[in-house]
Amino acid sequence: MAFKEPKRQKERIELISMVDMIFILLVFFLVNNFVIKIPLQERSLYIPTPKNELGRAQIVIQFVEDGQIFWMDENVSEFVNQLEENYGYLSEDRLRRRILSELLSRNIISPAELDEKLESLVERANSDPYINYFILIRCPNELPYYRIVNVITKISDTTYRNVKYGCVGGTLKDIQDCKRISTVVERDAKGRRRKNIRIDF
Amino acid sequence: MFETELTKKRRFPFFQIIGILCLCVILLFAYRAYLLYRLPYDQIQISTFGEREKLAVPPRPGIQGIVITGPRIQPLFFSIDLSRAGVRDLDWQQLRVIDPNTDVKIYCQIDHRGRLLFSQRDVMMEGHTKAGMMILQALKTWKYTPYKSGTIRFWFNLPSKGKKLIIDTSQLRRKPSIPEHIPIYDSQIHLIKGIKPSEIQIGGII
Repeated sequence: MAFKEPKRQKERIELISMVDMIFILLVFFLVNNFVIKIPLQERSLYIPTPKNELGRAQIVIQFVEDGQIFWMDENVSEFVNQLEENYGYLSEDRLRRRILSELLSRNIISPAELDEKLESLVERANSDPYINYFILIRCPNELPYYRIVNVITKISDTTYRNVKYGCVGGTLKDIQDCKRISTVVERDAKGRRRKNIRIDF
Repeated sequence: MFETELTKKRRFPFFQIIGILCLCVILLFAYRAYLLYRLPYDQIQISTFGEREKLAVPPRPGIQGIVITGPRIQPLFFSIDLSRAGVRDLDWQQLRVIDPNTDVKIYCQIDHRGRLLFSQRDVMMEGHTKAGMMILQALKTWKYTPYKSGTIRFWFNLPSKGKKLIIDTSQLRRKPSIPEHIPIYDSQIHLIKGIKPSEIQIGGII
């Protein structure tokens, strides 16, 4: 008995299904394009990704638990350099401890002194729009929030918005127990040599 | 027929057990939600293992270390110290008038205070004495900023078609007391009026 070969239907595109799909996709993209729109401001907002690198700042404000503040600015560099020269005969560890003890005895200030320093900083920033400051605020976790807000409020009140800041958690003990504190000569973004202070935790 | 009914009978408690278990689970979750709802916000635990896990501090600048930007290092300029009294310049045009074939070589020493020192033996001015004396009189007054010391050589070669003045500063050394990180740039090495910059070569070996 001869087998009858089944008649194969001609393959063709299912137009109805395809039109359905096209319309669904069209609606999907239209909704995406018109409804889910990121505001312009939000699109231009620069959100830097935190990097595992050294924090760079012109001024470091370290809040201490007992209400005082450890202030370090560019004058520290010259001071540390002087100590390095004077006590260069000490071992690395002893020199580190010496520098830290001298710094702590010299640079711990009261909230009133901090206010004065911030006011003069804001004054300087207001006098020249080309001066840019970056302040690193380090604060212990238990510190009342209003104390940081006070500082931020003061430094934010500049005419040219040329004082910027960043807040990180950290205690004075971190600085006291640092692995190294020394002066380093580095080039800044404009290629100018600067004598910086480097503290490795 | 008998087998089918038996199977039905067996299946019934099985579904019942699953149903009861599901209900128990739902009740358990409901009770847990109720307990969580009653707790203060900061005591709500996300998971039972939450206590053991510690959130790693995300890497942020300022956690690993700090760099406090210090003052800009001002470079030093090694040049003739014009603030010192009695510094005189040399008139190139006058020199050309006096002796257009001037060929004078002077080997000088700059001491640690920036003074330019030379003796008669260090001056080679055979046949050009007048021009040589004129040059020496000006050179005697030159004092440099005290950042470098060593030998400096001047070659006044007016008939040359190329460089007419060559100043060899290759033997100059920076003062050891100046820290290495402070750059010292050569600035105004001579004080000669009327000479074109294209006629001078500084740094070459004579």
